[in-house]
Amino acid sequence: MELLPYYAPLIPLLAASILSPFTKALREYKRILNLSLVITVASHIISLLLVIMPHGLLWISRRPVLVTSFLRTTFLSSLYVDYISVFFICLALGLGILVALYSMHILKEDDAPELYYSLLNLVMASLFLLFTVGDLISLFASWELMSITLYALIFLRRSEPLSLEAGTKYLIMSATSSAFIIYAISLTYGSTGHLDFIGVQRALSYEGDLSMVYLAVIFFTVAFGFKAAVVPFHTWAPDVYQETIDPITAFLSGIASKAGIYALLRIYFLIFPLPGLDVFISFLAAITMTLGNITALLQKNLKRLFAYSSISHIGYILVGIAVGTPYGILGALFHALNHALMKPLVFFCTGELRRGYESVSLDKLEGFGRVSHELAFATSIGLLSLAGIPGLNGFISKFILIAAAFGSGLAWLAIVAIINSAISVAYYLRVLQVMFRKPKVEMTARALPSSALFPILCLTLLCIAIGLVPSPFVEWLSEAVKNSLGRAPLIISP
Amino acid sequence: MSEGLAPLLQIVLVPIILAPITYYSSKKMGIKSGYIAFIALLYSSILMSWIALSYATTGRPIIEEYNWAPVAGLYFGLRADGLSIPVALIILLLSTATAIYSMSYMEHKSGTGMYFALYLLYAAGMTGTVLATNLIQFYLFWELMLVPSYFLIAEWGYGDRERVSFKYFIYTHIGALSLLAGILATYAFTGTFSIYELSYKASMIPPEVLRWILVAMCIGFFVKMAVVPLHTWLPDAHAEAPTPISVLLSGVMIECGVYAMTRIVISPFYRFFTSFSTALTMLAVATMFYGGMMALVQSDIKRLLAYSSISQMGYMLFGMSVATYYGIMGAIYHILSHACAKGLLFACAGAIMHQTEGKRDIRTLGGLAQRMPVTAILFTVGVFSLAGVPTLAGFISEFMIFLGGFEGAETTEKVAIVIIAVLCAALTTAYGLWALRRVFFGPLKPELSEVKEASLLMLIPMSFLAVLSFLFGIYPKIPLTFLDPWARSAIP
Repeated sequence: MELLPYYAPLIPLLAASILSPFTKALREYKRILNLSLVITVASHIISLLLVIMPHGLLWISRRPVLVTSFLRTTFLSSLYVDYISVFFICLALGLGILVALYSMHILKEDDAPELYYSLLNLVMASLFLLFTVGDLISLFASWELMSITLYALIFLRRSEPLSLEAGTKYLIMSATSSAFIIYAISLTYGSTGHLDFIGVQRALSYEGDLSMVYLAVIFFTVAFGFKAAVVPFHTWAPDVYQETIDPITAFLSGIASKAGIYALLRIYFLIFPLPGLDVFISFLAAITMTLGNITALLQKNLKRLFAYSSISHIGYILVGIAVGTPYGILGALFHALNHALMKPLVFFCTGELRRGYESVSLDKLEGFGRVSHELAFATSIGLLSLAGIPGLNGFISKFILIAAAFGSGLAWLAIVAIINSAISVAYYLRVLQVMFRKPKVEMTARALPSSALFPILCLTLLCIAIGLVPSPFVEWLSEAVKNSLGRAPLIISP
Repeated sequence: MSEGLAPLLQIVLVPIILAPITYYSSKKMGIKSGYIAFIALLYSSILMSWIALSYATTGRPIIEEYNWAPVAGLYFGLRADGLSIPVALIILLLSTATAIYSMSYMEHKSGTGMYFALYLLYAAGMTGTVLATNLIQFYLFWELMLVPSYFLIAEWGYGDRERVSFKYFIYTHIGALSLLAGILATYAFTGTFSIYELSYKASMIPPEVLRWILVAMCIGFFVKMAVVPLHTWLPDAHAEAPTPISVLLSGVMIECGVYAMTRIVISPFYRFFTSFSTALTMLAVATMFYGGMMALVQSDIKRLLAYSSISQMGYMLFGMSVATYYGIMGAIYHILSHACAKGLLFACAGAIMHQTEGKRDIRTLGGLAQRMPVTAILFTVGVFSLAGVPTLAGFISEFMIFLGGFEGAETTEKVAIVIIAVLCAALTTAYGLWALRRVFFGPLKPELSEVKEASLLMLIPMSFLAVLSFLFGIYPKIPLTFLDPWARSAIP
């Protein structure tokens, strides 16, 4: 029973496999959709309960738990679970539920809802694995599973040419990044003789020549930075974010990019705790923020604008990783959480705009805020939070990140982040102005269906609540960072 | 003062909590929802006066602290002492008076519920800025006064309001971010966000870093104060904002910059600050001169008042930058007198616009004293107060500012600067009296013959401000009860 939570990934996996054949039998679209949703939400909730259930070892020992494999070979297939894993799993599951709900009214009859929901479960299972595995080969396997499932989701409406182009772009970039991972893994194995996280870490401490290892770290950064949309590996993101259906865009920017962040955290702080990486990461952070923000200034399409804003926010998260102190990582995790609330919020809103006004182009949306009040309120909260206006969640984490950068001597990076904040306000504000401008053509109010209202309301309230009362979240996260990094894991063998 | 009552928290929170209620009640009550805003602000003002009385009798500052995010070093504190009480009180009084004024002003406009909701948030933001005890909370309220005022200008403003409000937001926000950089750098060296711990931790910051920190913070405050050359947002924003908001923008919001500068830069870093003194004095004189000259050539009445505000901010900066006991106290006193006088003048301009169906070009006005005698008298009071006529508040504050200037002038160059500054004050009289003459006196323009006196809802708050101007002019002891002990303890 002690290890039960570690088998939680099996639940979404099971749901994914039974969903399609079971619901097919219902024949009627509406009923298929409803049953798929119920199964998906149930599988998410059960796994969420299993994960946050007070399972002895992790909570009591207050340090990472390493479960060695049943097969005692060199290719250890082990599990490595710490507070950070639990944090990312909860984030993914919680958002997964909202995405599943929101997809309800976005899907059309020929989108095959049972397949869609089955894929959602599968991608959740792959994320689950990714956040718990303890060796590089399993990491690669779960990473690939996630990439390919996401590809299928992005490609959902393959009849639309632009969607096809975006999907292809994603596929090619994704395959390239996989090649980088494989290469990096072989470099790591070649120079350390180990594949499990702890083994590599221990081997590094008495390794003489580290040049191959540094090369491996750079390759890993390229590969995982691709998923997180770190500049210069970001080129797929705006196209894909713009063309896929909105729940998937929300999923990509809210969760999938955080998977990249998780992997980078593992690479930098667990597997390869090498000196000198901070210079490299802070450079990446600076160009990611700046390029994302400056390009976003030029966008007219709302989804593309938010895609570039996503890129810049990944840059802010990288600031925390570059700082590398517990305070900085706390900031990075907290910003990952906040970004995973704000970005899905605005993407859900753009989904509703697309449904209501048949366009997400800024000039076609003039004045919608004057008629659709709920939507305008939620979008404003999302925008102000992204802009880092105090009182909303985005500010608190951005503030921690910049304070951490100042505190650890990376003042130049902190100043770059502040300048970027200033730039970003310009385009968020432009959207706000367009929203409330007097419309040139008559705008009609659009009511939100409950499957849209609930996720949007949830995220809006969370943004405000975390902004006003951040202490429980900050405290838990700082506890999590303290109990995860730099502590020797508790090793158990089943 | 009992612990459970938390009067300071109520002062800030009651308007914030009532903001959404005001919005929803407007669907039933229409313009009358303004009374909810008025009552909320009146309640806060009464609490603040009560706190002022209790401070005046006991002489002990009132402090409240709450946990917010202790891990990140954040807590939520409010403090009323000799410096913050008068400033917070004038903010609340002006907002309360303007709330009544708004009801008449917003009569025929749409979206009044949203207007009053934003209005309450705006007022709460300014009050919170003044009462804040730590820099992050200060920053939070500093931005809280920006966001609602942006929406107020963008939605109910005049002219090219979209561009103007955008400019206002971007300028002020960039200033705020510069301030944030200063705050976080301070934290990196001292490990505290508390404004009150800064004074004895100031020595932990190496001087060459401290210089840049102060520059970053001052840029933030100077943008808000519209010190030349960071002033360009102000004439646009103040002229195009809806008039009650102009009253608050000019009357108290930009003064928050003066308060913040005194509280965060001068008081903790006094010794270091004095090394900037001469440079800032010159900047102040430039601001006074530029604002006054520009006001002289304006034909738009609100733009004239906006430039006059820039010039008045120059006075305050001058008082602060000479960094003497009288100078700083005069600058803070000038917050009070300028809030009453400029608030009154903008309110008069709004009344004129309201009664003449939007005429704001001085060339189209004239002889209005025959039709709007009470407004004319009130406008005269405002102009006289700004010009420093004795028995009005402006006289006391300008007297103290220039007295402080001479007090700190050890060299002939410094004396020369102070003399130039005093001469700049003549400009105030010039543009004030000339505007008064062009608007209210001379022959009545024929198209203005149907104009009536403004409604009581406008005249009552305006008269209240005029009474305050006289009160602070005749009984300077009232504000000085608070300012004097503070200035004695804060300025060595």
